[in-house]
This record gives sequence, C-alpha cells and structure tokens, in this order.
Amino acid sequence: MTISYLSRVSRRISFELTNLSQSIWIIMTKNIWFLRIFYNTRDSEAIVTFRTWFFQKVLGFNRKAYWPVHFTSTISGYKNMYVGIGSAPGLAPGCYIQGVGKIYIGNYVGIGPNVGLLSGTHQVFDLTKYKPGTIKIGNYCWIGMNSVILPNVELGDFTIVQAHSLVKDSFKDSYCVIGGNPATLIKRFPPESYHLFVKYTYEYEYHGYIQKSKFEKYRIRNLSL
Amino acid sequence: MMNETILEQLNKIFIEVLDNPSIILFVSTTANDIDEWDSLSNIELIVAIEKKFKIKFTSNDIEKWNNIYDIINTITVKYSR
Repeated sequence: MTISYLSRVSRRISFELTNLSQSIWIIMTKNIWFLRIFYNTRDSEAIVTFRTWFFQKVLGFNRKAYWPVHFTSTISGYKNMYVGIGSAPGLAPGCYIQGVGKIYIGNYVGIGPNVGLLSGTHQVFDLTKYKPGTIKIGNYCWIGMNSVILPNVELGDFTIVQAHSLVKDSFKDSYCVIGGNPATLIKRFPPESYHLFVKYTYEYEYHGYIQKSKFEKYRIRNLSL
Repeated sequence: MMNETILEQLNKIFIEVLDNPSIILFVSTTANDIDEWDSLSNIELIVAIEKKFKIKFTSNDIEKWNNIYDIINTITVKYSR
C-alpha cells in the first residue's frame, strides 16, 4: 500500500460520509412532519436552513418575524408587514426592514444584502413622533444590494432596482429597470418582450414559515393589516 | 435560409437598433466585441429579431447564447418549423 492509495481511500470515505449525511438529512426532513419546512423550502429563494432557523428561533435574533431572517438583519414591527410566497426580506445579511408604516411585498421577490425598506419617517418639527407611510412591491421584483426604498413608494411587477439606488418615487409600470440617486427610469422593456419573463412558481407555497393555506388565519390573528 | 443571409439580416438589425453603422458581425462575434450591446439593449435586439423572422424565443434559448453562431442556429431551427 502506498501513501497515494491511502489518501485516495480516505478522500473517498469522507466523500461518501458527506453524501450519506446529506441523504440522511433529506430523508429525515421529508418524513418527519415538524421538519418538513426544511425539505419544502430547500429549492426556493426563501430557503429555511438549519442555521437560519437556529439563529432565529433558538438564539432569538428577530424571533417574532414569520419568515427566515439572517441574524445580522433587523426587522422592526413585523405586524405591519405582508410577505408573499417565496420572498424573504432580510434573509440576505445586513438588511433593515422598518415597519412603522405598512409594507406589502409580493410573491417571489428577490432582495439583496444591505437593503433598507423604510416605511415611515419622523415629523420634521417633532422628532419623537412618527409619520407612517406604505411601501408596495409587486411580484417578481429584484432589489439590488445597498438600495434604499423610502415611504409611499409603489413598484410594479418585474421591476429591477439597480444596486446602490435610492427609490423616492413610485414606478407603477411593470417590466422596467430603475436606478440612481434619486432613482430614475433607466429602461422600460417593450411589450413584445413580455413573453421572455418567466413567471415561475414553487411546488410548495410558503409565506416564510407558514403554509399558504394557513396564512389567512395567521394574518387575522397576528398581523395588523 | 442560408446562414450567410441570416448573418446579413442580423447585421442590418444590429446597425439599426444599436445605432452604430460601423458594426460588422462575424460568426464568432460576442457581446464583448460590441460596446453598445449590453443586457438592456439585448432585449431590444431580441424583439427586433423576433419581428424580422416572425419567431418567438424563450428565456432558456437566450441564456444559452454565447456568440452570433448560436443565435443563427436557434433562428434556423425555429424558422424551419
């Protein structure tokens, strides 16, 4: 036996072990009912991993939020937020989602790191009082890294927000690219190209941790929307 | 249709859409060779090509393209149907 043979065998064994642990994790999460959330969201954008679940629900970073959140992000006022299927604001690190006003986020929205969603401002002459507004983001939007969305902004479906942009005004037209400081319309896609945009759906539909069928009950009981 | 006639027609479309009369397309041309061809003007090009040849692409087709040769290939496949 040479050393190269031994190293090859050990590498093979470690590879098999990692494969084995992965397949055990998949089989376990598929068949045990309270672990199904890990199995059902494994292919989605709003993926619930054991790490995010442990940091959020056990260690208690943003424990009350009903969707998976990274431990460096901050969610304040989750009761004022509607989060659609397959989208998770704050799953990327460093986000700040402020729920003084209302926030409505559509289905399948991708939100990058360090994004700020500010739904309320202070009154100009009395900084102890808040001035709530609303933010509405349509379906299949894409918000780039480091961009900030200010209150009373409405974005249509398939809006792409460039990285590092400050969105001050509403862009209700769908299928466009906006960006800059303050954000301006950079490109509107022609109607002939709408068939290129894929309206994908997931097999298992979850609003964060909550199934779609149970979400209406949860919304009535817990959220102020 | 022959590949060369498709290439000539594509060249006309590129000159019109990108507004640059000095564009000369080859089979091996990529997006890096033409300055005006970015991801935003790409959509306008695709719409113009679809209108010209009266075909429809899918997003999977567009993701697979690397150079002009791939575009000509998908056009010939779709046009013959």
